[in-house]
This record gives sequence, C-alpha cells and structure tokens, in this order.
Amino acid sequence: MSADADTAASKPELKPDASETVAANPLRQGSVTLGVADPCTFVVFGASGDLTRRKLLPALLALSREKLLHPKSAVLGFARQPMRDEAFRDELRDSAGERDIPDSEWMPFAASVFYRSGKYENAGDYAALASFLKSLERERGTPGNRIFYLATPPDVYPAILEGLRAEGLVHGADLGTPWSHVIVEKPYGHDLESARALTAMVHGAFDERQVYRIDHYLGKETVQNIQVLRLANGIFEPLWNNRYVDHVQIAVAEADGIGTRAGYYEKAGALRDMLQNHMLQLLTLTAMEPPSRFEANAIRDEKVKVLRALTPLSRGQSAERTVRAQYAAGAVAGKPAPGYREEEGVSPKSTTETYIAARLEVDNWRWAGVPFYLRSGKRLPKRATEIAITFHQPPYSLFRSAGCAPIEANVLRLRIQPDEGISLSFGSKSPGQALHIDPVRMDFNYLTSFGADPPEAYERLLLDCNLGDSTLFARKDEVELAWEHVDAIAKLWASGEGPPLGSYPAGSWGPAEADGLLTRDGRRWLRL
Amino acid sequence: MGRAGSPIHIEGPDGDRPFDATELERDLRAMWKAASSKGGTIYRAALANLITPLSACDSDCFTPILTEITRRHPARLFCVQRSDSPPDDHGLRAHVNAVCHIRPGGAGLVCSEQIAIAWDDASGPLVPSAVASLLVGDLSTVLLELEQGPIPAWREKLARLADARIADSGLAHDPAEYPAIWKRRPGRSDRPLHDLAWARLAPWREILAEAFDPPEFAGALASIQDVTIFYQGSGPPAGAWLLAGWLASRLDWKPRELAGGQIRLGAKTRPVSMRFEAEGANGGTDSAGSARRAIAGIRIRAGAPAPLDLSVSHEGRSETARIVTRAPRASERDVAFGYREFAACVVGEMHRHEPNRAFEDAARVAEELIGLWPKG
Repeated sequence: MSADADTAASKPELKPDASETVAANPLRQGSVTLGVADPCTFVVFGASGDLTRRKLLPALLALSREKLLHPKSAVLGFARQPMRDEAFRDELRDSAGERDIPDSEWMPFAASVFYRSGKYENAGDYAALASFLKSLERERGTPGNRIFYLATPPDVYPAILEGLRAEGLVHGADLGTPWSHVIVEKPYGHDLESARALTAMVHGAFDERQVYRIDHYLGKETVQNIQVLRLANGIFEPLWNNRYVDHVQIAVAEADGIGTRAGYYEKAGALRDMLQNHMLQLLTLTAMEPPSRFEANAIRDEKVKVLRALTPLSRGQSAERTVRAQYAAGAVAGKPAPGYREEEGVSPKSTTETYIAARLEVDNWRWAGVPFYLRSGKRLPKRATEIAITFHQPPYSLFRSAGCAPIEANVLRLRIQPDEGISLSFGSKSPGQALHIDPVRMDFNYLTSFGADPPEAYERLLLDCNLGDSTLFARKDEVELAWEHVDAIAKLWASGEGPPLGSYPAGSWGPAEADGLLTRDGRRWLRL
Repeated sequence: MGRAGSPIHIEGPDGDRPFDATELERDLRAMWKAASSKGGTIYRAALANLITPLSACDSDCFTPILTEITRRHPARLFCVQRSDSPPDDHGLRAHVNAVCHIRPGGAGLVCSEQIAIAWDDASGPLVPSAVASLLVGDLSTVLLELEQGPIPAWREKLARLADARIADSGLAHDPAEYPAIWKRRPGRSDRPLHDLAWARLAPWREILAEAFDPPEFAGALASIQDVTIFYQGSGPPAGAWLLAGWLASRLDWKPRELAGGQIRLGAKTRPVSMRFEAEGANGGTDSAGSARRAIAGIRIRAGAPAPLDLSVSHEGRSETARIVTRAPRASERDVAFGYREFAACVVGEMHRHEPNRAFEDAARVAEELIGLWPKG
C-alpha cells in the first residue's frame, strides 16, 4: 500500500517539533518543559458513558491538579442523557475516587466543567451546543481552541462529524490558532473498508493533521519507555536483532469477560478488538528501526515500515500460525465465571473468538528468523500486558559438566500493566559452597524507583493532544495497514482455511492449541 | 549461612477478607508502603512463588519450616489452608502479611510476602484460579505438598500452575501410598517432581558412591550378593525403598520375587538378595514433628572375585556416619554425613529446575520392590 498524499507525513505539523523549536529559539535550549498547553475546551461526546466517567474526566482532573492544563481550559460534556452541570460534576468527583480532593484544587476544576444534553442525530442540538460553546469560550476568554473527543459508539460518529461541520465548529488546519483537534476512540472501523470510510468521513470535517486516533496502550509509560530503553542506553540496541534475540512474545491478558459490551464484542472478537490495534502497535514499537528524529512523523514512518514488513499469512499458514478460541465456564481469580456463550447478550451459538494467538514474522534484515508470538484473551487468570524479548541461549553449556541444568534463556520483560516496569532475568550462582544456578531478575518498577506510579495513559494522551503532539496516536496509514493484516486473517478464517474454534476454561491460560503454536518451535509461553 | 535471629512479621492492612485479587495486591502495596515509612531498609525479596497447601492440623508444625524456607530462599508464599470455620457465603478468604529476617550483617530486613488463602468445600475448586491470579509471572512456581491425608480433586489444577512439585513420601505411612506420590507431576511433563525422602538420601548416596571409588572396592559392584537396609520405626520408610531402588537402578538389578522375607533381584552375574531390617531404637521426631522413620544403616556384601562386607550406619541428626568394613580387610572410620534439616532439603530441591532422572529411575524400581513386599 502506498502512503496517501494526505497523510501527515507529507505536510508540515501544526506545531513545529521540539528540535525545530530549539533551533529557532535559543532560549529553549536546555529546556525540558513539556511546553505550555494552550487554553482549550474539551468537548466530550458520550459524556455520560463509562469511558468518560472512568478514564477521561479523572484524567482531566489529574492534569488540572498537576497544573498541566491551562487554567482557562474547560470541559464540556455532551450526551443524550439529560443532566445538569452539578450532577455531572458530582459524577466526576465520585468517579475520581478521591473524595478528599482539597477544595482548593477541586473547585477551580469543577467550575470549568459543563454538560449539555442532546440527540446526536438532531441538527438543532448541535446548534445549541455551538451557541453554548462559543459563549463559554467568550466567558472564559479562550481563543476558541477545541478538542472534540468521540467517546461514543462508532455508529453515531457520522452524525457528530456532520453536526460539527455544519455548525462550523472545526477550525481549519492551516490557521494555527485557534485550532481544532478530534480524538477518535477505538474501534477505528471493523475492517479495512470501514476504516477507510471512517477516515473519509472524519476528513469531511478535519484534516488528517487534526486527527488523533487513540490507542490508550500507547500512553502507557512502559510503552513510551521502549524507545528510551533501546535508544538512550548503550547496551540494549546492539542486542535488538536476530543475532541475539530468539523470539518475542507480546501478551495482552484480561481477567474480565465482555461486561456490557456483548453487542460490540460479538461482531469484533479478539482479532479485531485486540490484534488490530493494541497488539500490532506494541509489535511495531518493539520492532521498529530507530527514527531519524524523536518526532511524531519520523516515529510513525518507522512503525509503518514494520507493518509493511509483516509477512502475510498464506492459506496453508493460517491454520498453523493462528489460534482462535472461546472461553467456557471456569473460575477466574477465585470466582466462578460463566462461559462466553452464557454471557448476557451473547448468542448461545456464538462463534466469536475471545482468544487469539498468532505467530508473525517481520521480514526484514533485523528480524529475519525471529518469530513474534502474540496472544490475547479474555477470562485469563489475570490482567497482564507485557512484551517479552527472549534471547538466545549461550552457545555452550559450560556448567552442565558441573551438574547444573541449563537455565532458562535470558528474558527482557517490558511490563505494560499492571505494575509498569522492566525486568531482565538471568542465571546466577546461588550463595553457598555448591554450584547451583538459579534464575534471578533485575527489576525496575516505576513505583519503587521513582517513588510514584506513572500517570494514567489517558492523562498523557489528552495532554499530548492539547499540545499538538501526535507521536502517541495512530496515523491513517498505520491503521489501514493493520487492518489489511487483520482482514487477511479474518478472510482465511471465514473461508474455512483457518484453525477450528477452540475452547478454554475461564481462568486458564488459553487453549492447548495455543501451546502447540510454540511447542512446535521448541518454545513455550512465558507465564505472566 | 548463619541464622539471623527470630523472624519479624509484618501484618497486612485489612486482615482477613473475601478473596479479591485486586484488593490483595493493593493490600500488599499498602503493607510495604507502611512498613517502609517506619524507617529502616526493607528488602522485598522473591526468588520463587511457593504454594503450600496445608491442613489445619499441619500448619502449626510447618509454619516454622516455611519461615525458615523463606529465610533461605525468599518467595511469594501462598499458604492454602482449609478454613476451620467456613464463612457463611462459602467464598474464599485471604489475607496478606510478610515474614522478615534481619539481613545477615544486620542492615535491613529481608522480607517474603505471604498470601494466606482459606477455602471450604464449596470454594476449594476456586483455589487454583485464585492462586493463578496472584503469581509473580517471571518467577518459577513451586508447589510444596507437606500435608497428610486425602488430597482434594482440584489439587491437580493447582499443580498445573507449578514449574516444580515437591512432596515428601516420608510423611506417608503406608508404602502403598509412595508410588502415587512419586508419580505426581507439575503442569509440564518436562518439569520435575522432587521427593524430600529422596533429598534426605543424598548423604547416603554420596557415602556409598565414595565407598566404591577405590579400585579395590569398585570391582565388588559387579559381585554384590546381599544388601540389608536397616531402619527405625514401624516399617521400611520411603527413603529405604528409594535407596534400594537407587542401588537396583544404578546396578541394573531387576526385581524378581519375594522369598523368605527377602526380595530377590536378577543381576547380570548373579542374583542379589535385598532385606529390610528394623532396628530397636526409636528415632524420635523429625523437624517436621513426625515420628522419625529413618534409615539407620546399610550393609552390602559381595562375593568372589571381589569380596566385600561393608556397613554404613548413621544416627539421628549426627553429622558423621560410621563405615565398617569386614572384607576385604577390617577397618572402621567416621565420615561426614551431610544431614540437612527439613527446610534445607526443601530449598535444595527448589534449586533443581530439571527432572531428576536418577530419582525417577529409583522410584520406578522402588515401586516394583514395593509391589513384591507383603501388604501391611
């Protein structure tokens, strides 16, 4: 696939990147500030929903408390459910889970939070929203900068985008200030065709440079730290290739089931819900070449190259290199769990996969011969996401002659959640007279090293969007290339060329077929 | 490694609560934070996940052993125990705490966190999923089975979480139970079962192997005719059977029949007789509190062309064993006997990460020998 002419790569950024800024302004040299967030209004569509309550508003509150938002910025929620500003603010304070927020921090933020209800399909409601938004901007003295957050089901995106366009709420991309950005939540389409259609629809109101496709995994501190680990340290990058790496495992395990998302999940399954976005994003960040500059498009260019280098699965390989399965009744974390087909809203005959595993290959100079094993599932024993890089065993087992069994290969684990951190396992002689080699680990944990938990992913991503930094957001061509790969797998599965739908008990680590994916290669899944 | 004083316990914040993995992890974090804020250096250490199912009557005597194990080999310890008073809602209950030891040298505490999970009949099958949700992923997982009595059916699911399984056939009283213990396996077939009864044989095997190192004795290995294993207690302990199985498997003897109170084995050059004889003295109790049923000695006799009459005896926790040779020439000497306390045996096995083929071979032959032995 060729990059379209309208990708951000072919146009200047809305804001100059950091290196350009420093070059143009000697006063910036040596500065490590994040930059100053412009005053803006966060307009959240789907404001009464779970995502807004659990993630977005707490993230905005946290940014406000850390003085990272401009004091004139405001939050304007919009949803169908009628609600007064006060009720919306109360919900926010409840969901923040911190009733003991000092009034000195809560009151200024609460005073900047507003709510308007309306029907997404009703043009008149957008007119009312526009009127309120403009008066709010006047009242607060903001220049009209706006971030529109689409936290609704995708089926209402067209109405929202048309409403914004029709009311002239979106500023042009080339104006500088005031600016408008739109954040689009996943799922970004359900296949390549729908993703392209969605892009066309979004582009009807916004330029690509104004579009921020969110994948909250990219806001995780450890994910950002992948590049730092590799490229800011002298010891890792030289090992980051097929000479030293045996294989890579990327796991996204969820202990939860589908909750109230049966309608969506029945159509998506693990392939579309996880592989297309989170897992391929993690893969690209792991496998990408060092970018020429630490700047949004340079990084995204390299990620796109990885997606282009992914070897498509052929007909014969689909059954051999992918596994799909659905959870049956079992127990997770000490509690009984129903089978997927017994979940509310799920067809008793559903064939939707809740687990996927795949063996992928990145066909380039650096990674030739290094398999990337990906797995993701629901109702697994615990919630854990990590990238594990397993290195080759030493060429000769020197200590076997001393009666020591060969130890496990060295593994560098990048823990993305929970307990974000990095660990490296290696063999060490146990203290004592006898020669025993035990696996030990060097562990870096954000909390114990820095004395604080890393910020929530949404905090980082919302702030970046405010700052105009799109590094941690997916570009159009990335999304479409990911869909190309996922569509190819989905088509092979649908044609009967794929593996049969397996089953696994809730609370297990997945079906036996997934183990086979690695044991065939003489490897095994690492425990999470 | 010297002892560093009595253990120090740190209690979790909320005591006993219905099992909730997220809340328990939170409790652990809060516990460490609170402990750190009191000053002094605390090392939160873990080399393994150690799962120990215990029955209520076992826990008192095994708690000190588990404490000692974590001193020697820090671990995230899961104590899985049947609840004395089942909760009304028949759910799992759990609490967290930590056991700490003053660091050798005195600077700081080295602590292992413990998660105690109580189950009842209704919630027992949920235990494996509860434990799985709290395992530290990149550490090896060991299932340590010390309790006696019937094992619940869900135990095999718990075993599937483990990279190694440690049992003690020495705690069983009926030889008919030993083979079932020796056949236990963790989740993966290429991972080991370790038997502490086998671990306790290490000094016996070492001394016997060393006895045959001199060339004048090595020739006798092919002409052994008679082996007698002496034991203390009410019947040959598991270790005695394993010792017999070890000799037979190493020397390629095949169990044939029981005749006249002794087992006859087929060897390449001549038949071998094997006897088990009780010794009068009561062995007392071991460090796990059980009545000691231990090997007291072994006598090995070989005929021409390399005659040998060799006895090795050992008592209790003595650090030496006596070797008496009557042929080919008379001699007596004391040699070091590497007696290890219970916790040391456990930790020794935790260092083994591969199946123990010598043990497996010995257990296979021992099972055949037990099969020939009169029941009861």
